[in-house]
Amino acid sequence: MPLVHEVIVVSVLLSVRGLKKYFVQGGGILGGEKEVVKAVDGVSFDMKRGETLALVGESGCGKTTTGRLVLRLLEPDDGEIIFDGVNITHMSMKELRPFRRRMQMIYQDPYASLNPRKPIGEAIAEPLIVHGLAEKEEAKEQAMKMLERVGLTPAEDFYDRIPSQLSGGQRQRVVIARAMILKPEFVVADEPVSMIDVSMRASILELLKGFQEEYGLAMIFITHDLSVARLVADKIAVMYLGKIIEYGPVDKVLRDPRHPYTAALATAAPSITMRRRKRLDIKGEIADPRNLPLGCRFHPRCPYAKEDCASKEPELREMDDGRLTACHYPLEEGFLDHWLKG
Amino acid sequence: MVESVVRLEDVSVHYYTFTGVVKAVDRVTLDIPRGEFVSFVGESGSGKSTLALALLRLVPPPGRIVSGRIVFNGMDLLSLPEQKMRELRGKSISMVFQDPMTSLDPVRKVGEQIADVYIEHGVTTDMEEALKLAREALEMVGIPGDRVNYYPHQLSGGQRQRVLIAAAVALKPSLLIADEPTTALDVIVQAKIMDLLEDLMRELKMSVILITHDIALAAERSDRIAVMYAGRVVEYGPVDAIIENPLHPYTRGLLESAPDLWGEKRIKGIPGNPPDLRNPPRGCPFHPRCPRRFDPCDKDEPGYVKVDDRIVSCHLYTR
Repeated sequence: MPLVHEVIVVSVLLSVRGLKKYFVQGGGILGGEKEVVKAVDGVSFDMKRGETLALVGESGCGKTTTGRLVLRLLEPDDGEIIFDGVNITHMSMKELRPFRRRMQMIYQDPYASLNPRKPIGEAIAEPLIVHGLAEKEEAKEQAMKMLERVGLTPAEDFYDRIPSQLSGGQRQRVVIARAMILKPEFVVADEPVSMIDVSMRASILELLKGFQEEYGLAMIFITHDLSVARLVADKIAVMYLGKIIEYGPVDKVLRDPRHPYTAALATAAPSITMRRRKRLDIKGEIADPRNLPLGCRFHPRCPYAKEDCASKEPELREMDDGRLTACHYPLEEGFLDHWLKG
Repeated sequence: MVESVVRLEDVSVHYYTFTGVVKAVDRVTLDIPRGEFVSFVGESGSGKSTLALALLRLVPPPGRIVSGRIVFNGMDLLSLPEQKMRELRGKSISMVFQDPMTSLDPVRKVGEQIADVYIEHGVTTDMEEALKLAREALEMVGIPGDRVNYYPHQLSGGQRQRVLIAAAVALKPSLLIADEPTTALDVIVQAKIMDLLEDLMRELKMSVILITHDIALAAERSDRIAVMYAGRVVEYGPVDAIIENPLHPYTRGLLESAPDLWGEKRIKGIPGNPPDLRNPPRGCPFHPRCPRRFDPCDKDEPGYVKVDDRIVSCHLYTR
């Protein structure tokens, strides 16, 4: 195992630099053109302990791939992942083991992420045994406590149940319990409430928040739903075709976007309190990731695109209020407010 | 009295499963006014999709419509011969489903699939003529006519849903039922598909029934909302009244559960779990989760009460 490279005094837990993942399609025995999909194409961000970063964007923007790369569930093609001061980008599976315990994933689908035949108590105890942290009896005891903690009570009644005997919301509690039993420092939650009925989302989010406070957990919360992102996150990164196009404090970015794409997303999301708002419409649908537009990837859909947007790719740069926006002609401060009133 | 496009009277749909009878839709009575956009809102298991299928008499076995009347244009759909019902489907009442990829045949050109509708319903017997009409139908939903020759996989998700809508409105039905038509799509595309439905509704003088789990989407688009819980319509009325002053505690709970980009930065949720419809609670099906339950709620089932221009099924209003 490599030694700790440097002692980072600040509370940065995770630092991602220039992360890339390209998938190659076709060109196999069936022939056909080899095509490259740039799923994640140069993503960088830092996260502090206890912080929640929402990764948002439309399907195909690279948010889920980014989450999986950071946990080293996928091999990055380029870039660096520094976790607690250690570069884990190129570690072998064996070297990664102690880190695996500290970083966990919560998946979207509580039906698919649990073994349908395994009693849920055993599913929750299992990671303790796999990581050699407890013997069978001790693991069971801890799993019981965890069942209580996530509200599946009385725990003795729930321990031996199998997933099909639970509701969707209860299953997601099991998935969370299984991730949290190792007391991780970092978790990637991929759309953890999008398959849960609306009336039960609050309690699942509450549960995550509780663990977060208790463990000082840093969380990447992947969602397509901006209104959920606003509830849970401190910071938000809006992704488009493999890149972060806007990043900053969640309210600043969502309520006062400087990137036209963020403004389009924010005004498109259905809202009860602003039912008759004016939408900022953009053209068409997300481009084919195998055939990215030149220049700014968003320019073919952008209502404000100018000539050089089609030739020069914008970098993320700091705006006067400290947030980062990748746009040659960012919206003015307070744009959305005026737009919605006008 | 507004004229209704369809009127449900005491409609019940049960599923006869090995583990018991599931009352998926339980004695639903309501009127859908002609030319309106009406949403059925509910969570999983509320019966909203089953009710939509019942309107077309397409409830799959082991489900069965066990009682009631569905009056459409003066006819009771439930007593029509199947042959007559088949003529109505796609012509007078059409449906659009959630996933455009599974509703389209992947190996046939989209134009042919729309053209089928004209041929099946005897508008023409000539495929050339039908394809010409299909081209016009595509243009009506905002897709260039030359895409009649595209296969579904050559279109984006939003365009595929437009193709299905084109097929559904090809014969200018008086009622279009859309079951979660945008759930698989991103928000920007969703907004445009909903715009399209609204435009078509006006142009073709249709009524639209939207089935959705998203009360915010329903609130933005509907004239009227029916909130469903455990197979029952618990509240039905004009959208503004329901959003601004929900009468049923479940409606209120649902509204307070929906995160909102422009609203408060917290949501409440509703305690507990939805009921097991094989073994629903006695009395009001919502009472175990209801913050306002009182004496009669766990004993007597509430009937429907009319409160102004709304109907609500709750003991708070029965006296």
